Amino acid sequence: MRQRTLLTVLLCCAIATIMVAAPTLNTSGAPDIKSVNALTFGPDGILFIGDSENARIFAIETGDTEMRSEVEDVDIKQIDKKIAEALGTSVDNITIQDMAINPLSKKVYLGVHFVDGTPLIITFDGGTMDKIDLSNLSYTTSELTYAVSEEAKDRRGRPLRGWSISDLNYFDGKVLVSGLSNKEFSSALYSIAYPFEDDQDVATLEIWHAAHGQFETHSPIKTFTATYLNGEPQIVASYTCTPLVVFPMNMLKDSEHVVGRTIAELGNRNTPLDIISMERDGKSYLLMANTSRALMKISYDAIEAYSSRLTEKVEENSGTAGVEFISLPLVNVLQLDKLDDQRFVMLQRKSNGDLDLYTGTANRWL
Amino acid sequence: MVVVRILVYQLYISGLLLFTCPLIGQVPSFITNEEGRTTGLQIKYQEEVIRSEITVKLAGSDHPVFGSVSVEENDLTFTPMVPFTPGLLYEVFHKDQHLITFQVPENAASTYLKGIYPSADTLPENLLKIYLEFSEPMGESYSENHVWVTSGDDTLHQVFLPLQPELWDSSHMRLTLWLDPGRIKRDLGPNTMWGTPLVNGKQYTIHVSEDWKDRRGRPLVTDFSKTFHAGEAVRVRPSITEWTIEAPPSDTHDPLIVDLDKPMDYSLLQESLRIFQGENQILVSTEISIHETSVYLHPREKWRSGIYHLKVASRLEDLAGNNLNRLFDRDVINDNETPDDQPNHMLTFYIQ
Repeated sequence: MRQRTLLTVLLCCAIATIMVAAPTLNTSGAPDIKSVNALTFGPDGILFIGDSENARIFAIETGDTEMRSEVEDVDIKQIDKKIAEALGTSVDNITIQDMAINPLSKKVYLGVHFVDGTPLIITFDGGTMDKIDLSNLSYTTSELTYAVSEEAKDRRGRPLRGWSISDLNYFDGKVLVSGLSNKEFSSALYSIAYPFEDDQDVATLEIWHAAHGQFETHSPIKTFTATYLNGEPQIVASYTCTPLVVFPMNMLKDSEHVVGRTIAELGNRNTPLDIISMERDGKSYLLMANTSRALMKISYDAIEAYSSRLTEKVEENSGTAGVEFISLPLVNVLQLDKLDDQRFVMLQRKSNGDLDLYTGTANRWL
Repeated sequence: MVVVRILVYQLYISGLLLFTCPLIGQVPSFITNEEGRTTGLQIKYQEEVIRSEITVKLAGSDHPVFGSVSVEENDLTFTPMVPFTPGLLYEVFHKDQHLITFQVPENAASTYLKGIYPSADTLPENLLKIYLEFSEPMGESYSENHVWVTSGDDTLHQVFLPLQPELWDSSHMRLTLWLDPGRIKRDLGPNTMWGTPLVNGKQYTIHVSEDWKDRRGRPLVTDFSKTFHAGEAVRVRPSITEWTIEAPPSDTHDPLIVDLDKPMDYSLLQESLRIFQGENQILVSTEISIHETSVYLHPREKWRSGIYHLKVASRLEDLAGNNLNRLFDRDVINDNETPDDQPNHMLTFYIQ
């Protein structure tokens, strides 16, 4: 059997803490947001927007700060059709980029791109649809340093610009952003204190990709969550073709190139789309939506108990390895977010072709 | 520049309008932007109306179109969040009363696929990339709905690597499609399971649907297809020592012609070749020949006699992703080749 060069790439490099010019005082007006690739909520109704076109994070004050402990299930059939009608256009002229639920009000926020690239944020409060006026906001912003230059291309000559932000989360007072940096080894995770300060920590990342049997630094995290594992803050991240990797957050601050611990290989020819954490009966679970596989449930107890790392190639086609997972009978789930401790909201392409937004409960699905 | 167009839109004015509404008997006009997109609706009125009483809806929809209403003198303007979509029917209401129905005219399609690269009719079975180049910026949608490959009567599946976001250049006019590298690299799981996307000796057609919308929401002018044959895999690292240079005479603007010996990557070719005379870079524009087998480098200034160096970035690739330093898919057991690591490769030529 032939052996490829794929087993030979093992690299190290630096991490950098760098100075950036980021305003800390809120600005009012039009922030010139060019894309809404990723959304997440911070404290006090602050919505963070990952804008790849600008290579910036915007923190906008939604004013949506009323705490509501009891809201009805979200259940919106053909949500793409409803959004298109509200924009006065047809479904094929819009794409839904990301979804975030305000943990205070439980309102659903959707990042949407119009066919001409115009970024939009549409909200749903129960069945009532509204929009955020992006031309009149109170906001702060932070530019991602080492952002992929507009003309940057990868080793194959592919343009990289669109990959500069793949996901973001808010955790313990920091905005965590995954994507590509323009450093030599490109997969990066930014850690930016909020309110935005002058410093950003930019860690470059490396993983063992068991399905491919090689180390990879050029593939950005597709989706991730931040949580405590065995008492330590950790990033649990997933990549295309679907390794699940853990990065200790305390290693993401200093000048180090961080090699993640690959704890599961969840099958190739698949791209993870979204990750959330839910609880049932005192146990925590990770839920992960995928392009080609069903919604996966993984026990955090199992993740914490898995102390080793995958270092061998998974030989079997579409084979899996490492921490075990359960495939839930939910396919074509595109977006996930937590509604409250007992419920989560899914954006799912149904078998009849409809795109529905609806609520799942921990009791039923976990 | 914003212009106001009148009477080019199809209008259906409700009879009731004439008797019950302050917007009496007025024919609306439409605001278009410099791209020709309809970004507003303007109506003259004769009595005071409350802005929130005016709504615009897609015909048959219950939800008002998001937008803003402004009033200036006798002009009431509705500006939608995004431009009106050509071909769709809209209805304007004052409170619950229907005023008019209008349709934004379809703009004639003008965007077309300029070319599919590589442009040759026979391509290696380990072809790595295909470029689609459009005449105008394309919209945000999914290429997998509009591009497919057939062989005979069969439509092939899992040919291209699914990527989101898709790999558009900054102008949104050129899309890079990767044939799945996992199927091309020998012995990787997808390769052993499904084989290479293309097979030597077979004929293929790549199709592009006219339904693919451009940035202005218009379909393409027409469908497009390109038929090609798959040939032998390319497993030899390209070497510029095989290239030949046809040097122009001095004191002319004639191009330097570089014969590449074999087809090279269309996109990388445009940025990989630079000319130096000593430390000075000679500014040239790059023209690529059909089938990407030669390059014409046109100087901005006339050539001077002397010695020149052609520096070629090592990341320049052939059609199979082999660059000047290493093979894309190397057999480390049976292949004695050692990857190189120099950033550039260089040829010297003289102009007399």
